[in-house]
Amino acid sequence: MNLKKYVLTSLCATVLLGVLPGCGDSATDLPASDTASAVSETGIENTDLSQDKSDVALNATEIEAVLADAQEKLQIGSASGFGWTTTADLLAQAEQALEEGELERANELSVELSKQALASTQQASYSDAQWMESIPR
Amino acid sequence: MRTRLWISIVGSLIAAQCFGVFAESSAQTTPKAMASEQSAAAPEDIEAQVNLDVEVFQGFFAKRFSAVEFADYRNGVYALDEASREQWLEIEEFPPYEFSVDDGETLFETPFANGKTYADCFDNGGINIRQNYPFFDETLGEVITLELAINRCRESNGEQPLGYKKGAIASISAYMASTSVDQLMHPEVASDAAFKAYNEGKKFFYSKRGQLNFSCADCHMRVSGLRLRAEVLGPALGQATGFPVYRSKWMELGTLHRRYAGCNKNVRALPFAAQSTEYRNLEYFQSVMSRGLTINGPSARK
Repeated sequence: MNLKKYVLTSLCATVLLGVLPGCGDSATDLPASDTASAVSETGIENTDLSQDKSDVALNATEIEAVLADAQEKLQIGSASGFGWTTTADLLAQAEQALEEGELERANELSVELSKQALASTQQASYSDAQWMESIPR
Repeated sequence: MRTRLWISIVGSLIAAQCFGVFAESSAQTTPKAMASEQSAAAPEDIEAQVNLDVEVFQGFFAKRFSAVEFADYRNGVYALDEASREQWLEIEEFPPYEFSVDDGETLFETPFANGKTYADCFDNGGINIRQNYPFFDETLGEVITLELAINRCRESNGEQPLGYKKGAIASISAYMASTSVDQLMHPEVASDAAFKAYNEGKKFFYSKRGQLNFSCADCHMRVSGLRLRAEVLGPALGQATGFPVYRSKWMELGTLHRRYAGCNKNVRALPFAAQSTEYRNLEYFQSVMSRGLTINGPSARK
């Protein structure tokens, strides 16, 4: 009985230490960095911008607001040196679709643009804080 | 009771070690500590920290490609991949950049409108000096690359600056590099300001960018020697020694900053302007990491 108690105590302590922030990183030559893990690292997958388009009212004014917000984020990403080449086309296409009254398409594009704009700002923050993790050990 | 408590604690510590709990406190964190120490430091401390960076960087490649001789890293990916090397050696028998080097020599020797030439702007008349670039100019407080110096020479003599990625500037740079082949590259980091520029370049090198979320280090360290589609990724060590290069893809000479911009676009990151502070600092960092290698530009690459 006592032995079981001590084994349980050990396991609990181990799990606790492993779960503590920053305690679970195992050292490798270079940290894993494929896109999927990076997306997870930057928390992009946790954003609520991936909401289904049916949740979004197809209203030109609202789409314009989404676009304006995305443009603001794009400027932040670019100013910090982390702009993406993919966003300019998306923005142009979204604006064109909006102008031509294709609200559903404009909405899809603006949501995608928002996701990318947010991701680039998150990448900038992440890189600023974590770039040293890529240094070989 | 006390014995059992100790058994419990020791058991936890051993298990925790397996989870990597203490990875961060090992001696391997040196580069991190070094990178964070960007405040004022004595020159000998800066040199020691930079030397440690170089040791870690070059040590990474020595471990990853143990069969490759250090001096061979100046040949880029051809140091790693035998099949590519054979093709490259055949290309180098009749170098595709040869005419550009000749053009560069002509341009180099052609007087400006005021009668002066490039030779008047550089030490030793501009011959056999490629290995001294880039360097940190303490007076101007910035990194000076060879291409930047060429254009500043033009401007100081009343001429219009050249485009930085290809054409005349690549030819002039190629000619100047050709007079410096086999000279040892050993850029110094001798002041706080130089160390700051160096660290900015280092940060750029290790920062993830673009939609693909790759850093320079991801491609040219972590997966160097492996294939991306049909191409083998070259090592970061030695990348600065061979420029400007004639790329088969470009079908002409191009500068290192043209290549930087291409790399950034490949990962879907907005590139910086050639000779921007960001790219100059990156070139500075990469050149410091390649200390001990010799100049072999211009050269041919896929």
